Amino acid sequence: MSTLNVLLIGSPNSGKTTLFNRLTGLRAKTVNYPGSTVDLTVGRWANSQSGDVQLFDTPGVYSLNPRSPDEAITVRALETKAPHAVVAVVDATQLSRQLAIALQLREMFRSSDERDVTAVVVALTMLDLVQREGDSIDLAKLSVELGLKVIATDGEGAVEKLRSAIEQEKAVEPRVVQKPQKSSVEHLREAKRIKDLVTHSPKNDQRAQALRGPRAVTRKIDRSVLHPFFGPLLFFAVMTTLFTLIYWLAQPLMELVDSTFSALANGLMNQSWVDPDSLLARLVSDGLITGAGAVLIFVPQIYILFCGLVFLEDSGYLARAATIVDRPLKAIGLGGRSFVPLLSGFACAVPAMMAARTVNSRRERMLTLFVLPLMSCSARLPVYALLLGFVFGANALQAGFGLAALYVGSILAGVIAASLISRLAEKRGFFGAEKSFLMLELPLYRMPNLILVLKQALLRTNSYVKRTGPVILVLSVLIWAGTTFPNYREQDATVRLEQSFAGRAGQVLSPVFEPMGGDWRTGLGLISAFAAREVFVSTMAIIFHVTETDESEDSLQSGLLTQMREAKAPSGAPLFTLASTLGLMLFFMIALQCLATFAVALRESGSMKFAVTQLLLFNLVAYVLTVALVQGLRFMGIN
Amino acid sequence: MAMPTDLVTWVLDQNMPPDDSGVSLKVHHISAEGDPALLGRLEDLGLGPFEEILYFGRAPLGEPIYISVRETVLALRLMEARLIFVTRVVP
Ligand SMILES: Nc1nc2c(ncn2[C@@H]2O[C@H](COP(=O)(O)OP(=O)(O)OP(=O)(O)O)[C@@H](O)[C@H]2O)c(=O)[nH]1
Ligand SMILES: [Mg+2]
Repeated sequence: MSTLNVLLIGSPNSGKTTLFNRLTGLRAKTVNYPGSTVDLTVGRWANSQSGDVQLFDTPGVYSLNPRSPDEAITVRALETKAPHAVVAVVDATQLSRQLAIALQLREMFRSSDERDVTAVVVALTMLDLVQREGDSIDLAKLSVELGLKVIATDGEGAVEKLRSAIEQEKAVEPRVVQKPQKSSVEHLREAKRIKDLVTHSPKNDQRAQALRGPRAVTRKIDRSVLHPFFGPLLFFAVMTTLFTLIYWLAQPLMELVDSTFSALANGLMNQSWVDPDSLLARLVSDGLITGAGAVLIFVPQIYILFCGLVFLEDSGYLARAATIVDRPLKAIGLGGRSFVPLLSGFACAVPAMMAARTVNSRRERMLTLFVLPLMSCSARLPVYALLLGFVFGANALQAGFGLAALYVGSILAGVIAASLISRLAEKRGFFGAEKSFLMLELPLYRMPNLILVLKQALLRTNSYVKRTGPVILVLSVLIWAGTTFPNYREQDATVRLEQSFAGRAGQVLSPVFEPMGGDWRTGLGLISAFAAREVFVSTMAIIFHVTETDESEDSLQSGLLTQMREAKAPSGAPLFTLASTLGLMLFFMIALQCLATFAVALRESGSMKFAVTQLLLFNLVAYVLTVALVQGLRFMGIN
Repeated sequence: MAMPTDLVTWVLDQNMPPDDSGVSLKVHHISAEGDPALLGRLEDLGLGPFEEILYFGRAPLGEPIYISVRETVLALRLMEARLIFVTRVVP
């Protein structure tokens, strides 16, 4: 028995992934935003009659002539995955457009020797919405007109019906895709004819129902959401709420993760069978457990951000928000389609870069990828918290304003970078000459399913942890080794660090860090931050010999702050001053200190040159600006 | 070529009031001057001669504009919309 290959093909947002999940039992991303699937996903089910079925979910297409990278993935899959059958997924509320894809597929899969099977099955989704509109569709007639089997995806046994339809219509050998004979204009004309034939709209007495239908409701909501004055106001309110929620809701959870991991490390060290000075115990507690903690501490924030994003996407609001900000983004060479990736960049650049695949022009996509690391990701927060604590002491209000200023600063930096690079790219033509277009579809509003939101956010968080976790873990073990060897027997942690490989490297590089207002210790902190930015804080704690006797994060931080206030540079002057701390904040705002981001940038841009340039440029610019700031402040007498 | 007077481009419609049910228009022709990918996408969406469309108004910052064609609501930049020449449908 062989494997059958089956492809799900259809317009963006037509419900392909939802159907894929029902057929395979998997849980891939489904939200109410055209372009949520950006890659092929494969799943399978066992089939008693003719072997396993291998099902591919594809990115949505408006036609089978690809016009963006995610569409090209779908068309390529049709040509290379040797399909025995395709399921044309058609949104019943958009028959007059989406049936054209089914007609096009029927032509492409025609075969001269197997005339009785079409190899195409139509799956009709969103019939519930048609019904709420007060309309009805004659499925039998639709099937006759199309010359294809039509299966409604709602109701009992829909999945079974679809499976057996695939079983009946599948070709024996994989079909070779043919060129359609008719043009897409002809298919669209035919689609409209069929739609008018099979749809029954309400007569006058049923008008009332149509007025309460999903389309009418969507228009009514849009009147406020896209209002010249209230629209932007709502936009700011939604974004502010989202970010406030991330910080306030996540705080207690992050403390919980932090205390759990320090308790775990301490608990291990206090076991009678563990020798706390042994290398293995130190590797496990300082390398592995600390490293795992460094990954997991951000999970609450990322989860909450994803919940917010999925909620907004699934309601249909994010597509509107993207159109509201299209104009300002266009002015700096980006566009409305860059909005969702940029917004996700505030959680983490890694998933955000993948979301940039829906940006249809190469130039706009590359530019989005390029400036994404400037969005202030959640890993910068603990660093900012420490440095703001140093500058403002216990004044939480001032520190809050400081944090807001850092966020605004990061957005400004992104704006400046995008305008500069887009001008340069246009002049030199290095991101391609392709013009970008917006042409974004606005889906109908719907009430997001809260359970689905929580689940989807969990899935995305999970895949983030899986992707970045191993990298951070390996790097934190490496940093542990670098800061431990060769003098691992030395009892005094500060001396051990000073004499370690990393410490020596820091001393060699010290002339580089001095203009920034730091010395080798700051340098070491900055280098270690390449594992993950937040590692800066724990490295500082090791360097300044803060013992982790207290459980709470607060006392660890205030202990560290005291040590930082007392630390002296080789000249005898204080090491951390207002100038040098502001310099560090500026550095963290701009520098690309994240190897996971580098790896994703490499994959998503498909260009080593791009990723390396980005890495070097961001760090170089951050360094130069920091030196300029620190030296400038000193020149003005601010130390 | 002289343009018939009842032909308007989108740009001329900037003072159109926002309207729940949209302003009915009919596509006259699509300019051939645009980017091929863009023209192709307009075609995929069914935007061609004789197609009836609804115009809903502009985004808060003046751009994009919102139209519906064949049961789909779309946001188009002015640059994209300027390729579409329309006539008013008198009810
Ligand atoms: N009311 C209703 N909603 C549906 C139905 N099927 C899917 N949806 C919703 O429609 C939205 C889009 O579904 P997806 O499965 O993500 O669509 P897709 O075709 O994979 O979209 P892309 O990946 O963007 O091309 C989601 O919010 C789904 O929950 C249906 O039969 N009825
Ligand atoms: Mg999908």
